[in-house]
Amino acid sequence: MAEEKKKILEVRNVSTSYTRKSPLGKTKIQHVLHDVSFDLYEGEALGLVGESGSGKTTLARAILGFLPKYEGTITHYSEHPQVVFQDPYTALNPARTIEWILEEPLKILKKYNKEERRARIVDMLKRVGLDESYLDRKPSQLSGGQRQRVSIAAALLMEPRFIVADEPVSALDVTIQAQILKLLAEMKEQFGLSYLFISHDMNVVYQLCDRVIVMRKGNVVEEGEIDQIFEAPKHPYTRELVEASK
Amino acid sequence: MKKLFAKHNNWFFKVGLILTVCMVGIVIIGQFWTPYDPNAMDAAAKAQGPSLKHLLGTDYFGRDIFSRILEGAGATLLIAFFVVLLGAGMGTLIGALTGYFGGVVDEILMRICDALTAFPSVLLALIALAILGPGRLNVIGVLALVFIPSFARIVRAEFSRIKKLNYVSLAKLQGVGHLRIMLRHILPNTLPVLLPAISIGFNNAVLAEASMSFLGVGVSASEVSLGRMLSDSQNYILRGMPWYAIFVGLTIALLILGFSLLGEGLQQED
Ligand SMILES: Nc1ncnc2c1ncn2[C@@H]1O[C@H](COP(=O)(O)OP(=O)(O)OP(=O)(O)O)[C@@H](O)[C@H]1O
Ligand SMILES: [Mg+2]
Repeated sequence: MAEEKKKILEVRNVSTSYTRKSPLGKTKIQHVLHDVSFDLYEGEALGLVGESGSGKTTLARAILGFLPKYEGTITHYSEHPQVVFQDPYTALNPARTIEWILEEPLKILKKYNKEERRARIVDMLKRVGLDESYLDRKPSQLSGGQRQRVSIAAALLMEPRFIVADEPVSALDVTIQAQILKLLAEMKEQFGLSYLFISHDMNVVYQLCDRVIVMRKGNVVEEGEIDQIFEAPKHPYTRELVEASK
Repeated sequence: MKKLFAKHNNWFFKVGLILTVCMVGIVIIGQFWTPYDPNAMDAAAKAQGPSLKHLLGTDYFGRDIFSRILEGAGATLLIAFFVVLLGAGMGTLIGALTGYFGGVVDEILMRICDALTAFPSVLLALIALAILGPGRLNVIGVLALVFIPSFARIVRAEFSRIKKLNYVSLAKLQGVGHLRIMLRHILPNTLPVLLPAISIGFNNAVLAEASMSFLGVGVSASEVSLGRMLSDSQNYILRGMPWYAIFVGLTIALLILGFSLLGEGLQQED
């Protein structure tokens, strides 16, 4: 990296474990993250890949401040990130309409009047491949993929500098997936947005990300520029992932 | 309303709603118009059975029983309304705060609730009223107080469940304040359990008022209520006029049947 980039997130030696009580009263400790460290810079899309259960969502929750207990330090140098949650079924308030859900963050921003809010919502819905007809619907009347797109719209409407997106496009079919990835890339170019982009799909990561972190069983096994990871993976597990995506 | 109907398209809900609306409607009309003045005595028509002139008959003083039931039911429903309003209101407030914030205050308040609910609430109310003495306001205060724990408990459970869901986390990230999250984001999602509880609350309040007043610790001797009338009507049974007690009892039964069916219907979807 030639020019100096602004660091927006620093994760240092983060470890965490979940404790579970077995029926016999013994507490079992499951280590989920081991000594995870990395940095994220302004305008960068960092991919986080790894098999199911490797601790990706746990790491995201720690960064967002939702993990009650962990060791190590997480420092935000810019404003707090917005998020697209992995589970689209609990990410939207079931008692509210899509319009209400999308308007709420804009009301909090206090930057726009009623008509401007409405215009922005409709515009953003179109950008994620939905339209005005969804405004009056409740989340229960939407498919998983449609819900996921509403979540993405909600995150982007907040005009954040940094988004943590946990498998945002996994539930979508390829055409919509391509459209959303294009939108995320555009937002990145236009506003210098940074992403922590979690995915199990190497191809998707390749389309959006500049750098990749590979996790396995709570450990970072490899980290590198996207081209290096694809062309010369060092760790056997990374090689496996890259092979599988071809 | 339309949505409620679509969501609870079951017979409990329909019958309960119709029964409740009819009963409450008649009672409300009765607050503005009754066939006779409930207190007007007619020496020429004492202790009569049901007739076209007096639908449900008259008492010893020649007062129209139908008119008196309307007046008494109005008083009972008004008491029930304030009991549920205060009980559910305070219970929701306590449950929302403790469920959302948790911590030490939560622990303490929930222990107090546990202690209160360890006694049957009717017994607790009975003792409290026996000490305080009868009277409409005392009944409302005491019943509201014993109703608080059950509402606090269910609202607390809902708040502590919902606060962990992603859409609440999201609202926090969006910078929504705690109060707004509680009122606008979480509270609407507690309605599926809160509405049936309110309906059952009406059922319990009507029943409790009737029992307290029947036992003489409810409303005072100068006040009217269904429980008070039920107590008075006992004297008529032995003298061959059972219909007074039957009609009062039937009114109570229909009121609580409506509320409990409605509560049941609201718990079942479809
Ligand atoms: N709340 C929790 N309590 C106990 N264990 C948990 C909890 N959340 C996650 N785990 C465990 O921690 C491990 C890592 O879970 P995590 O959700 O971070 O994985 P992931 O990499 O996001 O997987 P996926 O790709 O399937 O989403 C798993 O073994 C999981 O069972
Ligand atoms: Mg996950």
